[in-house]
Amino acid sequence: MNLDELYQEIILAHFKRPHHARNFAEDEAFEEAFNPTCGDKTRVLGQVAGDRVSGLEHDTQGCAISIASASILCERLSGTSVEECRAQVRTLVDGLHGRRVPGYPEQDPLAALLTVKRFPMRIRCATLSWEALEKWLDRQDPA
Amino acid sequence: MDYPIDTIRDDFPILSAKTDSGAPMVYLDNAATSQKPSVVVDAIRTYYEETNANVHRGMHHLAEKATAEFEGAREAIAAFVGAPDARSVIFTRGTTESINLVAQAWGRKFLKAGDEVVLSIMEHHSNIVPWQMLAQASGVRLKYIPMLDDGSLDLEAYRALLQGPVKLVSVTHVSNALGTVNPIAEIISLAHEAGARILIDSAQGIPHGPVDVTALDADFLAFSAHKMCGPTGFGVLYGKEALLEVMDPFLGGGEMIHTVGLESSTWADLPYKFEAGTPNIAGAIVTRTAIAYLQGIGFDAIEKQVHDVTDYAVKALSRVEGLTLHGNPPERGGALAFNMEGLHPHDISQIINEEGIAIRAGHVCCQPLMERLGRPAIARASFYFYNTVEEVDRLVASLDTVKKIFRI
Ligand SMILES: Cc1ncc(COP(=O)(O)O)c(C=O)c1O
Repeated sequence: MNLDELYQEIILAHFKRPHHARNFAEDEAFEEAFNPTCGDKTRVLGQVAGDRVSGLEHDTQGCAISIASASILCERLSGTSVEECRAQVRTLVDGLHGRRVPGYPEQDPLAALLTVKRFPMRIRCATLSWEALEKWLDRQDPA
Repeated sequence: MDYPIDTIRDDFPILSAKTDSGAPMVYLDNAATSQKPSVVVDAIRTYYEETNANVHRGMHHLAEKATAEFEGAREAIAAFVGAPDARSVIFTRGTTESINLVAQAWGRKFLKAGDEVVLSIMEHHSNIVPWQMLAQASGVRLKYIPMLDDGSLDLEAYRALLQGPVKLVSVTHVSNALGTVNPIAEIISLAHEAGARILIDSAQGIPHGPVDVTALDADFLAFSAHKMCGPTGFGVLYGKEALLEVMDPFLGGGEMIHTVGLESSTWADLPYKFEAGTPNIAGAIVTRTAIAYLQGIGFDAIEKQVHDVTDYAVKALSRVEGLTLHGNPPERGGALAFNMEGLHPHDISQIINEEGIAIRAGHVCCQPLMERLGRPAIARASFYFYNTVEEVDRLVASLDTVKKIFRI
């Protein structure tokens, strides 16, 4: 196994300077995902207008992979539709678990994130914020 | 005589294993579980090939042999911990079950709403959650001995807590995260002066040096075989006979009964009252082998080696830039916890694993302690008597790789 595959430039950049990251107050409308085996925790929130998701932000305590993943998530999915967000969550999670191979372009940060699938112990680190996003989307359901 | 480190390492074939990346392994996760010497592995095989039968049940040759070896193991373990009688040595699946046994079989019967149980902030989850379950069922209140910044327990605060209606104190002998060796003799006598009973979690203590439950006057003491060269899934609860006698059973089933009627049953004598079902027979027998192996090396030699290697590691890690070592307790066992600036312990552990180095990263089953340290997770290196200073050097060198990859 090659560590350079796990800790690619783009992942390290997102870890060192995570985008859309801030400390949330306890009373904000975030959803949280927690990994009890390691104690990592990530919170995600945003806004929905019509079916547009915008202003996704995260508050993540965790390893390089979980922080980079949350950062990439917020950057990539803000401005898309609720439906697109859900589809992206499924695509990435299925891809990480090897159920389906997503066709991410080579330069896409999601492609870098997908290499985590070769490190089974770290898959949950990569999916954590996406789980939180999914919970948050469930709560926004306009129906 | 010099410490025969090479022969000792030869006793553990797994120590010469290589990891997937081809690096020779450096096993520094001994607080999670120790490795097993060949004599122990062989003893498991011998048991199943030559002795295997259920105990206390059959009249045949193998049943007699298995029962004799099983009860012989109990005698040997009783002698090892200084128990006055083998009847006070209960076999369990490990420390976790031993503590649950006391919480349920003693706690439920003798503690009532408003009574207090004193734990410490550095306990393993297995010495917290069973008491929370008891508290929820019975209204018992939990109090925690705080920790000083050097990683030792705040004994002043402990004395103050003992002014309350405390019925039981349950604390760890040695912290699995920080390596702190707690002054259990003092902790025990203070508890007794306050009229409280005491349970010592010696999961990380006994592997590094024998304890004498009689000299310590411990009411209960728990440990696991797998952290001292023995098998997983086997452990011990020592309890004072008078306490065990008046406790209710823990689990119900075969072995633990005297007579069974349609509506009710009567209980077997000690220790069987607490040993429902077919026990881990091989576990008990082989744990005796493990203890004999450790005694063969000598606990003085074991303690010295662990102490020397840990001391060396503390000094070497203190020189690593950006590394914070947690606590500097007056007495430290074979574990130490650290964090590195700008790095999460998981990433450290993952990267050094490529160089063959096995440490633990995470909350190490001590979330309240992590809260106290203000860190969601730590990296922990833990040593046993087969570790060497050269292995510590490899650990320290591997941290450079981590920094390189993260451009720190
Ligand atoms: C201090 C301490 N207590 C209790 C336990 C639980 O032991 P077991 O998992 O063998 O029941 C451990 C094991 O990690 C420990 O380190």
